[in-house]
Amino acid sequence: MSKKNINVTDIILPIISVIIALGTAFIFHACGAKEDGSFMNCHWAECVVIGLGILMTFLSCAHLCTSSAQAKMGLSLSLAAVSVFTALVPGVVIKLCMMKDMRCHTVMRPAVTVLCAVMLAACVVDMFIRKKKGSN
Amino acid sequence: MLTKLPFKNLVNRPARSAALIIISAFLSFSVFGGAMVLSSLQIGLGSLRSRLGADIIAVPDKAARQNDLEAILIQGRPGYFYMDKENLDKISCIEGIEAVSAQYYLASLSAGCCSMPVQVIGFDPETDFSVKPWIQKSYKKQLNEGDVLAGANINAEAGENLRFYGETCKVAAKLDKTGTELDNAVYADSATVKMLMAAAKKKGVGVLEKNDPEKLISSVLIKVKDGYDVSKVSDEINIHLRGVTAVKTQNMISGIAQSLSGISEITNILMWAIRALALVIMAVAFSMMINERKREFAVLRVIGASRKRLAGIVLTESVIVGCMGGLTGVLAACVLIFPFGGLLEQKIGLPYLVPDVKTILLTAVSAVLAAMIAGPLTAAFSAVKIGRMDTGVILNSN
Amino acid sequence: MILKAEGISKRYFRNTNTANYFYAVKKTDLPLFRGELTAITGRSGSGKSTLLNMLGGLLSPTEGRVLYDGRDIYALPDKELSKLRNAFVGIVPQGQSALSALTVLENVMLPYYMYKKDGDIKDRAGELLERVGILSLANAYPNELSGGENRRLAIARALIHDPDIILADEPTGDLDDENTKTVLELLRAAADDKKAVLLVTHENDALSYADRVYRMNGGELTECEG
Repeated sequence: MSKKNINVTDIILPIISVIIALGTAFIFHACGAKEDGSFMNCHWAECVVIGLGILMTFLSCAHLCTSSAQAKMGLSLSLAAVSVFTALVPGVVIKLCMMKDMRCHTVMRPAVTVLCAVMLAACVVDMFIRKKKGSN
Repeated sequence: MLTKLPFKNLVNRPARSAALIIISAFLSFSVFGGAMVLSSLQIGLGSLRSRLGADIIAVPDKAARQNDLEAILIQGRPGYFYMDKENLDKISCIEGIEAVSAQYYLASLSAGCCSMPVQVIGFDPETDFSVKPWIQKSYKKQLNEGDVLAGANINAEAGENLRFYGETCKVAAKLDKTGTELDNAVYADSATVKMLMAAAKKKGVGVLEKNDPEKLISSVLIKVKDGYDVSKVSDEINIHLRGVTAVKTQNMISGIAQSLSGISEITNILMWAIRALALVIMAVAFSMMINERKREFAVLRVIGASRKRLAGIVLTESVIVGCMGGLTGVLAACVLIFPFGGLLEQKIGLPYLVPDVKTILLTAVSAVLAAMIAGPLTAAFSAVKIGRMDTGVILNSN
Repeated sequence: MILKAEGISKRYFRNTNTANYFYAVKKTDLPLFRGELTAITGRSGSGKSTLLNMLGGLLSPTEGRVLYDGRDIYALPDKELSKLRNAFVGIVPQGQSALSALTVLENVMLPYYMYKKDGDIKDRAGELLERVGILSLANAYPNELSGGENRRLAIARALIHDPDIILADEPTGDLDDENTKTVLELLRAAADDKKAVLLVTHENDALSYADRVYRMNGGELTECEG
């Protein structure tokens, strides 16, 4: 891996992925358990987002480590796709709680949406830079 | 090439340019963010005023003492209270009253998936003047028994079912967002709400146990005739009806209006402080930058740039910085304010309704413009300063 | 004679609030002729650079006039004077003088585009860079250049407009022997090309290239006999 082949996005992608995975688990998590100990829907949405965040972390680390331009392109593309899907998990793929003033609506969903949007933007920028470099 | 020089200068010093851009981003962030939050609160207050619809709301004494009505309508804490239905007829006999309509409040224990209780507000479709005008924006048909209308904050779409006290209710429509706590309630006509009250009675809800739901109402919404004093009418009710307290909605709202003006004041002071600080920092930063680049400007003088041309280069750089900072600031504000609007609404605890797209765009454009003007404004002093500097002295002091 | 200094002097106040002042340059006359290389030598701080800057229209004298083709240049408004400097005077300032945001080629072309939007000067800039021996660095940035290369860039930039006058302030300062020789030969060639060249230096090696040599001492200029 030559040093020159590393872009800012190579570093940014794993950072955002880790923030999505760990942040969803510890900071902007969904609503807690009910009094009887059972979980509401949003808890499962949270679990799926954490899972996808871990998947993104693996993909973006692979993106950082590989030296093949084509592999990087492919990984960026799949990261972009996963981030779009992740953004849709809370609320669309998995329904959240009944009241929109509950934590899963006010904290988890917007945080996941914004982070996934940043992720998507970073992926697009990464692919753009690579395409430009490739054509030079 | 000379036209590209300011841009190239900025690209050449990415850290310095980024710092300047971030400072002007703070400026546009405060202009746009401040305006958005304040106008959302204003619109929220207006929305609450129009949604309450009534001049006076009569409730049982006990509920008035405990501020239960405010809890339900303004703080969004689900609750219920009841009084005898006779009060409705008694109130309608009082002089100066144009219309009366009963409402029924019921709080669900647990609504299926959620641990949070949901407020059910029942209205009488025959006499109602407060809920219907709002409902009609979303739902024009007659409601069937068992149909409910969901407030904008209820996470259920039309056609889905909600369960209250073991009864299944179909969501007939979703209501427009009002930005108030009324968005957290479910609305039903009197037939449906009575069915739910009966179900609640079976489940052992205390108050309902001894009474017949058919003979109970929760509150009476009152509209005062034009030309009559709202305070006098409410006094009349308080004097003539035992066990009933008339609450003027204006009083309920004025509390909110007061905290709103308090928040506006603090926000304004804070935002102007940020703006002033950003302007001062920008002016200092430009002045420092000019000082650091003295030699560069002296060289430009050597190769024949006039004083005006040097000022032009500095001012163009500041406009580019202002423009980019302005866009960054607005973008950052959008990312924070819109997705996290729900959280903001909750933390402020006041009615909060986001303005329409046109207003948002106009505010965004003016915030970017403000940053763009602030750039050259703060750089003006430095631009004048480099015009006055002594090229020969700078070149000699190597 | 193309440029003439008539009784110019420069006075600086040590403290702006008092009448405590000194003369950096005492009343001086100095003519510059086409096709001649005039050298001014002297210790640093003797007022050489101040005199050069006054001749180049960068520093207005306290007294006296600077005449270009018979016109008093300090009587012109700033814009006119700037245009005149741009078109007819090539100045090689002391030390590093390239704009760091532009490439070597762009730096050389910049004076041309100062008052013109159209036209292509790329070929001429390329020729000049070739003449000063840094054509291969055309697309490099000034911070990638050595001191000598930077000085040669400044000379190429001064020549881009084919000016009547070239004013070079310590163009060989801190350069090695080989670079010094290259730079001085370039200035000599410019003088042979019918330009009036003024060279300010404190190195005696440079004087052998000059047609006329002056010595500056404590702000006073005296001509040295050849």
